[in-house]
Amino acid sequence: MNSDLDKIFRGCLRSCTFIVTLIALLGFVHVVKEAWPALVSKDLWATWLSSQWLPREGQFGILAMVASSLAAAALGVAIAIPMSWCIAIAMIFYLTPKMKRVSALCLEIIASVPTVLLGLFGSVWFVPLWAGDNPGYGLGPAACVLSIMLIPQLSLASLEIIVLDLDGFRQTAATLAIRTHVFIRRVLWPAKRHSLFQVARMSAARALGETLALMMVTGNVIAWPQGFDTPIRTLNATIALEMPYAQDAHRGSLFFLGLVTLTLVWLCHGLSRKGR
Amino acid sequence: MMRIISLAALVLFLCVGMGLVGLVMSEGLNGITWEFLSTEPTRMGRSGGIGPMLIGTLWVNGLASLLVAFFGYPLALDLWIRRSHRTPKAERPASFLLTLLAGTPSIVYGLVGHSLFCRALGLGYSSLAGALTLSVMLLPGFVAQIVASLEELPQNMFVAATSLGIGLHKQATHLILPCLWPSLLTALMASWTRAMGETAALMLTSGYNSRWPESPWDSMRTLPVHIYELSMNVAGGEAVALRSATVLILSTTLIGAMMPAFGRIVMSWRSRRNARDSLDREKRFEFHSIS
Repeated sequence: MNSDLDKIFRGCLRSCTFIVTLIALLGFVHVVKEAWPALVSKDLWATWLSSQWLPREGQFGILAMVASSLAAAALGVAIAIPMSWCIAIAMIFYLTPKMKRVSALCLEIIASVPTVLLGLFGSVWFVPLWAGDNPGYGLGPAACVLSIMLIPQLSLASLEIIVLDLDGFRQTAATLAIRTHVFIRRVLWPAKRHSLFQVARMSAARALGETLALMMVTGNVIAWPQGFDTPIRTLNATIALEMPYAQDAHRGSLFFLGLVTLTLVWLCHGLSRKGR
Repeated sequence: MMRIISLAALVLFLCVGMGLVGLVMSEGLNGITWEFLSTEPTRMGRSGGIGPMLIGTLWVNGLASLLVAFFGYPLALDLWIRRSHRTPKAERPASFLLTLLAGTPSIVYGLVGHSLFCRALGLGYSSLAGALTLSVMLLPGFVAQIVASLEELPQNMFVAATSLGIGLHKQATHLILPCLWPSLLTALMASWTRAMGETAALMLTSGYNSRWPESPWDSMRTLPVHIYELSMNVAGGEAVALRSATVLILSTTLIGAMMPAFGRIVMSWRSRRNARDSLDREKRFEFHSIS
């Protein structure tokens, strides 16, 4: 009786796993199926490897959008990484325990701010800062908003990595009478840099996947990134803006953009897992 | 030098980050009244309230949380059993898929939800389609948290239960579930907080309707989507957007602050109940010994 009930119970658990797996696989298959007409079109390379995105005329060049996405993510991450490492080091070595707790709490509060609010903040306060001859939308505010989004989690993750086995390192350093900045540069950095870079690559994936915050500060004009204050449009923003009214080939192209984003993000995740 | 640079970075970021929260709150707190929280928006959202959006957010998040709990707990249990029985081949595909799902950007979830739930299943723009999409999105985080909590439980407990002939279904309901309550609630609240801020996926699945929702098949606008609409597509909507943003920040911070407190309350309630039960058992034992 007991074993029969156990078998039924295990069957229920397995079927639940199966259903979830099936839904997830169906989702991915659907995206590929919708993108298929765009993937097998005759002049694929000529179409995709241009920067002209004119859906009415059947031109779906994605290069400018890919470049904009990569540039915004790269700039955001380039600001976020050193800032986060500095914050983690300050919290571990230079703050009192009470100040450390307060800083961690503030970081958690900032981390819990939804990205749409970061976009709102960027459009109301950052965009006017960059405004001059142009309205101010572009790479500059995008990088600032992305870095605010990435820094809290990246700092807290870096903090956890650095704190791991820190006491052992510290004792050794203390016996050798090494000063703090030398200890950080010569002992801690060589020991922890691989893990720190892994986390940084994961944050790059998060930056590439961000949609709303960037949509609100980039100006959404399809163009190559030429400066900090000229409008651009990312891959994700194009999907979010055009999907509600897209038909036929245009719709397929948007799903193809989704596949491109997914590939870029998974590539970053794959790279961050590779070193483990 | 390193001290100055690192402390400057910390102070600069905390000033910008907390300044952001403070500025939004200072500009938004003034206009938050009961009327604002309970009425429909008028003039495209420039005036009126955010009542339908709050209900829409609660509706979509509530449905998504229910779905996540319904599928997440058995899925986590199944993965944990396979892992503890050392059957990696059986566990690997599901774990790999969950890892892939965890790394998928929200706009791709929006595409999947739009294509699979709105079009293929015929749900259209509805809160049900939004909730289904959100639940798939929240599942990896929820399952990872539950599996981690399951691995922390003392394994001797299960060895003892199995040696006493207690079946797996009884262990899951009478042994694991009571131990896992705080973790389950914390994981659900974490999922809820993440769902509260989700915008891109819901724009493509639950739609933009700003009227009062009547059923899960209705299109409805969540609070983050409303903030986006007001700040991007409605001229002069910034003031209401900031007020709505304040409501969103307050609710997410409140839920975030409640998480550890709630876990502690549940733990203390459980320990009080266990103490009372053991006292009752002792009394019964004494009574039987005397009689």
